[in-house]
Amino acid sequence: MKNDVRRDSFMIITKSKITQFQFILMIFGIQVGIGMLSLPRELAQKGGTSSWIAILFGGIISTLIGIVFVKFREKAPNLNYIGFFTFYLGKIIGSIVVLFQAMYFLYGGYLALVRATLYIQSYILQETKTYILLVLFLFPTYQLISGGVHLIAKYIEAIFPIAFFTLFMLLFTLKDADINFILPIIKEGWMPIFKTIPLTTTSFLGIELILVYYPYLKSKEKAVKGVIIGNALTTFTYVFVTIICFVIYSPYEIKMTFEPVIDILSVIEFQYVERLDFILFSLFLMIISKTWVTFIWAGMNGLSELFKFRLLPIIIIFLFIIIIILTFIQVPTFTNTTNHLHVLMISGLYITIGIPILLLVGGLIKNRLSKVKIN
Amino acid sequence: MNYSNEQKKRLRKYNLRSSVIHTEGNLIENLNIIQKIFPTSDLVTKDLIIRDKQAVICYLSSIVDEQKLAQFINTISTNTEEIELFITNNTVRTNQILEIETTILDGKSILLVEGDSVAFVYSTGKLPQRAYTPPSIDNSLRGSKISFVETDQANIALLRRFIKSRDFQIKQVEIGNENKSIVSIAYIDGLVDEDLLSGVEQSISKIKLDSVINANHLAQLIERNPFSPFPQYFTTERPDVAATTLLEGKVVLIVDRSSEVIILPINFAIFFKTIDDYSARAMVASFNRILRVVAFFLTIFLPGIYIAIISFNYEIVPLKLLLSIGESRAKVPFDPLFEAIVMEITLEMLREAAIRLPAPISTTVGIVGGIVIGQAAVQAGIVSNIMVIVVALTAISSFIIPNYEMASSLRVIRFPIMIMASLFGLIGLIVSTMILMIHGLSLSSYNKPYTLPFSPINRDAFKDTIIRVPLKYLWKKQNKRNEE
Repeated sequence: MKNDVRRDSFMIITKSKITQFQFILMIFGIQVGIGMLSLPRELAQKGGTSSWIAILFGGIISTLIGIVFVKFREKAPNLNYIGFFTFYLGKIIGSIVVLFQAMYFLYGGYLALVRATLYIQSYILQETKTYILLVLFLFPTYQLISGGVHLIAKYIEAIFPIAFFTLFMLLFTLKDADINFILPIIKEGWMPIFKTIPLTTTSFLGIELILVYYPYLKSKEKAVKGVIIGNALTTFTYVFVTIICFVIYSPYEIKMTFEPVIDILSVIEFQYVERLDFILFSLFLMIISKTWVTFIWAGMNGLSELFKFRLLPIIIIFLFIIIIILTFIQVPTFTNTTNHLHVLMISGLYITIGIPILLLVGGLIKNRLSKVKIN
Repeated sequence: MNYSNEQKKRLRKYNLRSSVIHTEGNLIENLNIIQKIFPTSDLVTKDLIIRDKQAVICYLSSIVDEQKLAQFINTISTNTEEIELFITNNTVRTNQILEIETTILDGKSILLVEGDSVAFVYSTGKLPQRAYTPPSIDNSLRGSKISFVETDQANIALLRRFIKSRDFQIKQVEIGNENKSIVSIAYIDGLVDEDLLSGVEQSISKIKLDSVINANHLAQLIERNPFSPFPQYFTTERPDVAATTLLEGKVVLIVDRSSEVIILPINFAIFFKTIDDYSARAMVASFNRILRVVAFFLTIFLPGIYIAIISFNYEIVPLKLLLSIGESRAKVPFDPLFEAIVMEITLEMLREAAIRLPAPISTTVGIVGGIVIGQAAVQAGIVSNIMVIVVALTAISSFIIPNYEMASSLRVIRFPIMIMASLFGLIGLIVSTMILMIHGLSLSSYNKPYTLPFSPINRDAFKDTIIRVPLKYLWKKQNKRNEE
């Protein structure tokens, strides 16, 4: 029968050492990335200053989707990525889905990397060429990708204090805050808020990686709890950052500010460190790095499982050469990466919503077929 | 009896056909065999007559105790009935040539008697050994004032002095094909992880070298990632440190002829702990720990931060400070990287020069370095004042790190970071931090993560890393376990 999975050893993950804390941070880490920098502006443009409430709804939706993913995964806990999709959808459709996802992950990883490079170049190192910075960032990327998911998990865990510190420093901007900017909390009724929900949902993209992470978890039974806490952490961060931006910039100003989260940092000034934003933004590079690294790893992992090759150094270097060539084919600018990010978000939405439906249908058909066979 | 290839090879090398001494006990034949094995001139063969039989006693004159030997010869020369009894009770018999070889090398004497097909081995060994002295590298204020010496038995005795328990056990393995050295794997049964023990044994057995002289050699040979900038082993010459780690369930390797022992497995935090941390009260100990963490970051990053700020991100510095830096740099014709590297290398040279010089001269080196290079270089306008401060601060920080190996590694890591800082400023620093951090995270020491208390986060281990909680709380679990 076609839908049966050949449970060869290649498909089963045996080394699963990601702790619960790492899992939570990985969900948090994959969601909070470059999207956060412009989120307050986009929210304000779409739904005014009360739109931050929409983040809460986005968070809830994302949590629900995450739980659905976990539930699907529980049926085939130890299978690897391709094995999981073959289990539900059969070999051919499963492979196609994995291929598309891998391309999507690589695309996302590439965009996050290029975008981070652009930010760093335009805010800190104006005189350095973009592709030189890109090559520079590829060194740690190489280390992490060749180290695999466990190393990435450790890395995300290790840099969490830095993420926490950066967010904490945002509190120092509050001395210029005006709480009246966001009052009353619901200004123009609920409609604008509801309209913003699709936008906020895209900020939670990355949740689909739960499907990849799951077999590597040490305590799989606590995965649902992890998804909830991770999403709550992300939601909190987004709400925190958005509200801070909303109370500092006036409702009109925020719509004009391109990257409010970066701009806001320049408000911070201490007696001994002028322009703390330079340091914070450099540190922010570490926080963004986990997004692109995880995405590129997930993509390469999907491809390697699909075409059954190992992630040898030469293959990773080959990928990096392609990445560098791509930046020459289309020289990245803020405008074209924004367009690409838009495409990525839409395809991400399709994938995040489409996959559960596909899996559900696949599961039902599989059940039907196996019933037929048993009877 | 079966012989390994190595033993066969050895016998062939000595041009010997048989593996045992002459079965009839032909004295001349036997003497011939021994002289074939030891053509060296410090082999002494002394003819004796024991109860009217011809006998020969052979030994290496350099490593036997003359007094013991004289006593032995005296006793067996007396022509009484008890001689045979004396010999049986005081000697070991063997007829294996290879065994005779090792016993002679251990400083024992061999008595060959005409007509006897066995050799009598009598311990007369007197291998050079020094007395226990206070530690010279791992100094401490309030720890015990005794350190390991070069004899493994003496070192094991020291450890037994600290751990009086039958669970303290030792496994001996030999390494080195030509020049055997004994490695004693010490552990506490019940506390040690079996996998760790077998893993250590396995990695030692993989070494197929001719000889391993020193514990630090062995440690490097069994290191998992020799290209890493971070040392993955910890050696100490303090028995109290070794005993403490043994009680934590770790393994201690004692290499004969080496006054340092190896501790495995380790994590990054061990390099920042000293035995004094436990003698001091929690507040003071924690303060010292934090000081060391600060020193760690300063050692690696301070010159890099200086270069990054001066050449790229001067906006960070407040205007007044920037002005004073600019003033001090006004006369300097070089770029910050060159300035920093010149000063750092000068300092490293001073350090390296002072190590091996006799004490009176090394103080002169200090004066020359401090006054002449520091003061004069600034006045000549080669380096800026701030740079001298930065370099001095970095040097002091690197000396704060208790472990010599780690401190040396960190001093080397500083240079690539300086280059990165001069190329990319703050971003260069961040990227090099990332590279170092990821590398550290990827390391492991016998399946224990290298960065243990930080990643994966371990709350219990945190109690004894950056801070040290009061001992009462640190050892709470132990206390509770024993109360039951």
